[in-house]
Amino acid sequence: MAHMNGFAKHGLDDDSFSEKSALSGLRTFDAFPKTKPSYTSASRRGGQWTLLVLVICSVLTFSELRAWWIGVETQHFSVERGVSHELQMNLDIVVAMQCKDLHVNVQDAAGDRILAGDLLTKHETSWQLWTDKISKKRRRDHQAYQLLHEENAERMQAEEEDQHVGHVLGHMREGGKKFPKTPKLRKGEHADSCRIFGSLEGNKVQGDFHITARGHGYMEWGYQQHLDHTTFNFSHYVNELSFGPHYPSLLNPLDKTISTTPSHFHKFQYYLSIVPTIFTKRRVSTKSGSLDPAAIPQPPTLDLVPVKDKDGKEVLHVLNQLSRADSKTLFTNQYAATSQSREVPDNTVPGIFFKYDIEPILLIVAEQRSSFLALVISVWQHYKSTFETYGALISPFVLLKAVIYEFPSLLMEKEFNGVEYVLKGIRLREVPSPFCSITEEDRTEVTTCPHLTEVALDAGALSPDVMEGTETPTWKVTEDSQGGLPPPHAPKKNVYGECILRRSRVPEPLPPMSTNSTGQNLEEVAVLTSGEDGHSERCNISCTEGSPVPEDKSSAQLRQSQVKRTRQDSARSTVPAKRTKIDDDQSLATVNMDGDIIKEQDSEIQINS
Amino acid sequence: MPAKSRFTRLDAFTKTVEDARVRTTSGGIVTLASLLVVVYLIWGEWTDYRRILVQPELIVDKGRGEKMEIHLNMTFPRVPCELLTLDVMDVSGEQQTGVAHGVEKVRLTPVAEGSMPIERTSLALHAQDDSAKHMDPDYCGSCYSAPAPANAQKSGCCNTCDEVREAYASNSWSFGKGEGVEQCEREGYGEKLDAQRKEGCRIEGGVRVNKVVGNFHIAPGRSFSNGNMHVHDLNNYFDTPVEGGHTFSHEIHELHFGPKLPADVVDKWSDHHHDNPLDGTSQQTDDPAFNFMYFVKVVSTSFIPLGWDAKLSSSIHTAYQDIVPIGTHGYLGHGTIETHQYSVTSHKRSLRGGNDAAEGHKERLHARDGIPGVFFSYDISPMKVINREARPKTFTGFLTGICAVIGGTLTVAAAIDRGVYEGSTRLKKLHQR
Repeated sequence: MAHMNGFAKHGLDDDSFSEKSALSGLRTFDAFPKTKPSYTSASRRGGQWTLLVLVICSVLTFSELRAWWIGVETQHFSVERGVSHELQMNLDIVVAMQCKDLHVNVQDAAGDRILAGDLLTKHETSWQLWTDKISKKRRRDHQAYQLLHEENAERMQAEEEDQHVGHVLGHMREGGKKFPKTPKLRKGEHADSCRIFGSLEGNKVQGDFHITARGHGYMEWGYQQHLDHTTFNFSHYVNELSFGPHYPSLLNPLDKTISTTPSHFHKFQYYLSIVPTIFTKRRVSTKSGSLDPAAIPQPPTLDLVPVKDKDGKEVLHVLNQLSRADSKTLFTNQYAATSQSREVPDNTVPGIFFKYDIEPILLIVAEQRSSFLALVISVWQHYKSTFETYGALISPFVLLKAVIYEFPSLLMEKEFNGVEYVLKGIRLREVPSPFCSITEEDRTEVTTCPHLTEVALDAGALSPDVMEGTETPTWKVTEDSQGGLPPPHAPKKNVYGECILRRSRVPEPLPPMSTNSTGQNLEEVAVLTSGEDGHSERCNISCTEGSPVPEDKSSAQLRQSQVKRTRQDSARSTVPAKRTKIDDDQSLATVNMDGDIIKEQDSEIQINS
Repeated sequence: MPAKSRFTRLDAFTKTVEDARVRTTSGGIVTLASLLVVVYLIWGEWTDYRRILVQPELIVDKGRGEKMEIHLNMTFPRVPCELLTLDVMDVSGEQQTGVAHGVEKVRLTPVAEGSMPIERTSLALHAQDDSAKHMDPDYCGSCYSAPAPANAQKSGCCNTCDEVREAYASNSWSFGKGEGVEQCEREGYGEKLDAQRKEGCRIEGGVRVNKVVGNFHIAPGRSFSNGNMHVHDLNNYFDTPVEGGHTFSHEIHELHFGPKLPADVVDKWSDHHHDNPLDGTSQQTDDPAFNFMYFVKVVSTSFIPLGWDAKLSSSIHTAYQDIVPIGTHGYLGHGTIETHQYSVTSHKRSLRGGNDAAEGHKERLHARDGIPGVFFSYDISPMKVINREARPKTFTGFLTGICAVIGGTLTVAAAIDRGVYEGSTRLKKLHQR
């Protein structure tokens, strides 16, 4: 049992085992001294605050995690690299004229004419069928089809959404690269319209895509019958018009628009500025956030390097080897559209004209998630800042309280509410911490709250902080909370002696100041509190000159000195309210400081007593 | 009571009394480790502070009256220098006159002999030949019933072979090798041309043009503006004794608008891929009547390094823009460079027209006729890219960073230390039971 006790005291004590190890010297580097548990206080209010802080922290963590998961979208730009050749066009349009009367062609700046009519699918359909279909859709969902000049918030929102990576890639995953089927003609309806749809590849140069009437606008090869002008009707529904790979669910400015005219000679002109765009979830930027050109995914239609074919002949037009199809990147071409339409005189060619030009600057919309480490760091920073804010909120609060409570005492000299001990020239004061202002409900904290916050040497006015390394011998004051033996300390230079402050609770009420003397031994007791529940807090200070050597009890001189109690009000439960002026009892202090007088009171007693 | 102790009560940063502190070995280790971390992180902060970043900005190009240099280095292995003409035209199709240029033609040995350089001559861009200067001042060469060119040395006369060629061209007559034309026989035009027939040619150098939409092309034969038409005399090109004829197979070694970035600048700036897309590309054909087109969109780009002096740059720009020699335009002092990037689309067609069935596009009908050659048509983008060097961090930012590093590390270290301490205390208590 005794062995166990010994182990209990010294077994895992950091002091005892670390002293033996070679690393013990490192202890002096410890910049984070831990406060002994007996010196820390926990209050209920503090606990409530902690809970609040924890709630704030978890909310912050959640939002941070969410933001990390979503990622950050950045827009970059770059002049398009490589040598381009072709541009895919996807078109789905219904024109109120019969298919055989329509010419669909592309004329571009390279001088090529693309006979789009040969490539696109033409389906005979009924104008009324589409009108009904579209008006039905419009009734159900107003954004479904739009007049050209119409502005609809939902539609605009839908278009806006299609500029964000997550949304666009979502569309890509929806798949379906096909154009919808042409609805079947209803009974009694005759085919008076033409639906032209499909994809074609043109040169990636400025061009003009147009739908004109047979026999108008082109010098035809061979004889073609001149078309009666009364059959002209270039009213049209654009179901889709897009450039680049075909993603039907992406909403482009001209998709699902209605342009109608009652006139036969009408010219619809659209001017499109095409901006090559890459939507990607791949990392395209450097650490600093600027674009890393090497990381830009390249579209498959671009030649970056000339490639030799099997015969050793250089071919430029190959699919780009460097690009890999992946689900994280989408190449497309956005466009800005302006339009004008007007009735034209007989000598002008009526029709639907899409004039397009390609911008040289590639837009890269990248969405990327920062690294997990960055997330951890940012969460940690949130925690830190929360706690610091808490601390920062608290410390001015403390300061304010201190000012409010202490300022009057600064003005009124000597007014001091607390316990003050003067012992061998050491002034010991117990100042209640503002946080532990003792109220009725906090009574249980009485024993822990009053801290020994000020230890001052009256004579010489030495601060205890400079106890070590100073020439003047000082007293080392430790508080023995357990009431047991003082911990073994190595003798220190310039330490006059050691005082041990013991506190204990006494079950019966004691008079404010009492002196117990048992024979020759004089025990001085200061009553810290005289509780209404009949308990008293007793403070006992015993001082040993030199260093205590527990093994040699005879050499240990325990001195018990008169503890002067300067507090006059014992009811501390209402601390600030019941301040009274402390007697300026300098004479008593002088007596205490006088070594001779104290010497008279010296007596040898057993440490354990 | 000493006066100072009155204020100690106002101390919001209360210190724990030395005696109430516990120092541990683990705490010491943690402290030393955190110090190392702090030093490492401060070093990181420092390098971050000293780092130079290139921030690209996109602005609308508000420059006006600017010039642009086109630097070209192309090899035509199967067209002799004597046949090649370089024409620079603006948007309306008129030849840009009065442009400064420094283009050279380098005669190359035939492909079979390895295309080695033979002779380097300066190319006359729309310039007059002065080979008839030694003539009798009263000499007036016949234009062979073609109207004499307006810009002839002697009005109404065709004193040189070139003038006869021009006169023929303006009357839309084909010229041929100049047999029977006195001026040309004297100048030995036909022999000169035939001697070079199998040779190749490299065109290298720069042309300074107004920064407007335009095009330049390298085509065979003398070019003339005939009304609204731009005409090349193609007779000598098609009528050739060389087997297989001349073709416009070409290799572009370099094509850049504005100065090329020096290697150190390219290294310094992260944008290593600011290369020109056409550099090092080549296209082959065996058809003499073949036309290559490049549609180029030019985007002004400037590189502004740290320590850029706006005043100096603009004064250099204003004062020397027109007089600096070719190749030095765009360097504005202190390493500031005004240049251009471009995107390009290439297109090729046979002059016989026809469709693109070979490429899998039978619906694509090429235009017919035209001039064989290599055509570059360039368009100027309204946007301008500015790559500006910048220090992303200010000095105060650096100081704040250091404070954050120290504070953060110590907070983490304190937490670790506290954890270790608490853990060991718990363990101790566990053993006590």
